[in-house]
Amino acid sequence: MSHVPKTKRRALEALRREIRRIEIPVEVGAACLSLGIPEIDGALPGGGLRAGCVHEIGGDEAATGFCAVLLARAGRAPGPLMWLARGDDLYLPGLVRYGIEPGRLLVASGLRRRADMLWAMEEALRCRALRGVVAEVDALDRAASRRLMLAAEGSGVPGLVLWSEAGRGGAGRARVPTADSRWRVTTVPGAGMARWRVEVLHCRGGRPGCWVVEMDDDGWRALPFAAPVPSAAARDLSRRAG
Amino acid sequence: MGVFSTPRRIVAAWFPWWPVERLAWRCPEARTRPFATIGEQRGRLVIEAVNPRAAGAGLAPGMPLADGRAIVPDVIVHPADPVADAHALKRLARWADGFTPRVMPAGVDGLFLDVGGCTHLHGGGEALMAALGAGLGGLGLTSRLALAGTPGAAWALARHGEESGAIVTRSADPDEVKETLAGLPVAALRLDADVVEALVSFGLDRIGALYPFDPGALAKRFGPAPHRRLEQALGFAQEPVISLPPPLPREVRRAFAEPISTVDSIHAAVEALLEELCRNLSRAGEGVRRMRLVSRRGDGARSVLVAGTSRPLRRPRLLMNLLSEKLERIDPGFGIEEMVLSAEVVEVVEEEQEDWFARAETAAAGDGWIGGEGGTGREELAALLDRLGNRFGFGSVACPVPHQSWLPERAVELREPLAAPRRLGPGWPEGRCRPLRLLSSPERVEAVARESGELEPAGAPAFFRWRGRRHRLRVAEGPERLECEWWLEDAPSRDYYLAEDEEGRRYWLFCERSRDPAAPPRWFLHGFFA
Repeated sequence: MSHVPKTKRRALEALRREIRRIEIPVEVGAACLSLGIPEIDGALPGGGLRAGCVHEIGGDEAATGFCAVLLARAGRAPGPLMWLARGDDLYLPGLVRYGIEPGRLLVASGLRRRADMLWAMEEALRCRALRGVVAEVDALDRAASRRLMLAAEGSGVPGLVLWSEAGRGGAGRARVPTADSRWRVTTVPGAGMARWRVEVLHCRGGRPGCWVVEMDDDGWRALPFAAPVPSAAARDLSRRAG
Repeated sequence: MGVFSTPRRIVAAWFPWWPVERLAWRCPEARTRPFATIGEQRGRLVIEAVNPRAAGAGLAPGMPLADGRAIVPDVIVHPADPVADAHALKRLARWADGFTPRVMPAGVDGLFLDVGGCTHLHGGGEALMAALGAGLGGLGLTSRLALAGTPGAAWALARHGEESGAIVTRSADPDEVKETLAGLPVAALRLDADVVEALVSFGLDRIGALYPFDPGALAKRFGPAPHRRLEQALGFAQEPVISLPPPLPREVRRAFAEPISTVDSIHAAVEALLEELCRNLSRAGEGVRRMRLVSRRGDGARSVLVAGTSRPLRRPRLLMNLLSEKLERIDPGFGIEEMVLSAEVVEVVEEEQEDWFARAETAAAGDGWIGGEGGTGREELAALLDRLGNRFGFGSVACPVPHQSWLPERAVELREPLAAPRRLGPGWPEGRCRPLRLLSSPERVEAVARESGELEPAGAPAFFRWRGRRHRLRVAEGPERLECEWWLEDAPSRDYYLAEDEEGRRYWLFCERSRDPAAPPRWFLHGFFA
């Protein structure tokens, strides 16, 4: 694009913004799933994850916790929540800590084949009775991803695709080509129990960013990014060491 | 005496333990242990029916459940279900039509059989009643039977007759009947409780006491019921035994004049079959749990589709959703000549239950997310569960809720998603760290504990080897000791530690310490934290 003159480039930029504004209707009050952390919500268009879209969340076990928090926030409106699990190791007493109410969550377990999982997620996303859907899928092609988007769009149900880095594949690759936003959530080593590094890799109409969030009994909040994480760990260790 | 004036022969059967003995068909402990059904009255739980064991221990219908539990702490309770009781009684009436075609339910816990003209087939009235009693006994029902000339008299004798035996016979001679009934309480006349109470308060506690009264005088004070019931019992007023309508077929079929083979025509045919089946089912008050569609081709080949549901359904549209996906599997070949749709498993459709979902609907109704014709949130969810269930099996989707157990792996109970929501038990204890993912059975690891003097806490593992990989642990918290219930004396206790390795993965490890101090502690990996 280097041959385009500067003025034209500016005009193109303005046009692009206009197109984006038309394409992504983020009206005030449009259904958005806010995280409840002003720093991160501020970086997302509409102040949260768009409902009726599919979002991709990857990382280690922290991603599971992150999905649980998002699902719990989606479940603030009454209605059932659905978790489509590949194995049968999801443990509700651990999820309760992140705000999931017992009796609200439906868990479909043992969906090991990818085709089964995609089918189940599409069906679940079509069901307007649900408040949110999490599916443990490792990767999907553009067609499948598009189908999920359409299903979510029709019902307005937020869909979260959760994949684990521990399995196969690199960290940076996009798993859901049409995802509305793409996240990477990892534990912060040596920092105690509930401190995660939350990264927005991509978000339509939003800004990528990286935060460290900490969770305690009062909820969760972002720590300033400059927070000296290693030194906190060191402090932790030294405190433990006596 | 002409043919037409042959005295009527009516058998009344009474099942004193009906609701409980009916439930015993499904849960056998209703026979062997104290058992009661309960219902809600004015905001509290009240016993509605008991079994002989519970009655022997002092429980009685009408008693608050709390009082009942005080008397018999281990009484098993089950919610009362009058709709299902009535349905089962109808089924029993159909069973009894082996004795006579004219059978009908009598009240909520009895049957009338008009055996006039049938007794000789069984070797007389007494023999017929003995056969009936044996048959009912074979079904696990305690019964009292009485044979009389009118339904009213048979009813009175079955329930209030002085004989302790199960079988009572009386001739149909009106005078003799009058004499027999005279000594029975007025409640034997099938009167409402308040009428009985009014009669008794006037000292009219026996049927015989009503004989001298003028019908007008009785009616003036107690309404028309006592006189009418008396006339019916004595045979002066007619009271027919009306047999139940024949059961509606649960199998519907369509034969095609021209064999069909296009997708559209198959769809249309299945829709028509579903309409018809659902009409039959809704008249019978039932819904489908499993259905089977058999398509027969001209060359004799058959294809069979089976679909199940997570709760009884009788809406053609919802059932069509379940079948439509499978219809592609029908290979029409040169054309299908006949289709048969049968409801293989049916259940009584219960009243909609009030639960959190109903609350959700009222709350969300304002937002207008519930759309479509008759589509409520609950139905949409049920439709989703049906689709998932038909593909992965109905056990694959569950609703986990707290369950009290000291073993973490047993602290979750999986409930059927749409089951009637029982109140959740107490949740898990607050402030305990529990992992997000739990291995369903703890995996044995080789671990080395820290020596005291090294990093705190003492006893926490320094590193462990799991699935061939060695993990060095940097941070650990604990121990949280989980003791087994005190009555399991020999079971080992567990010391749980929450540990983090160098890569930042967080594990839930425990050390099993048996009661025998000589035995070495064994380490297990049980779960993963976020």
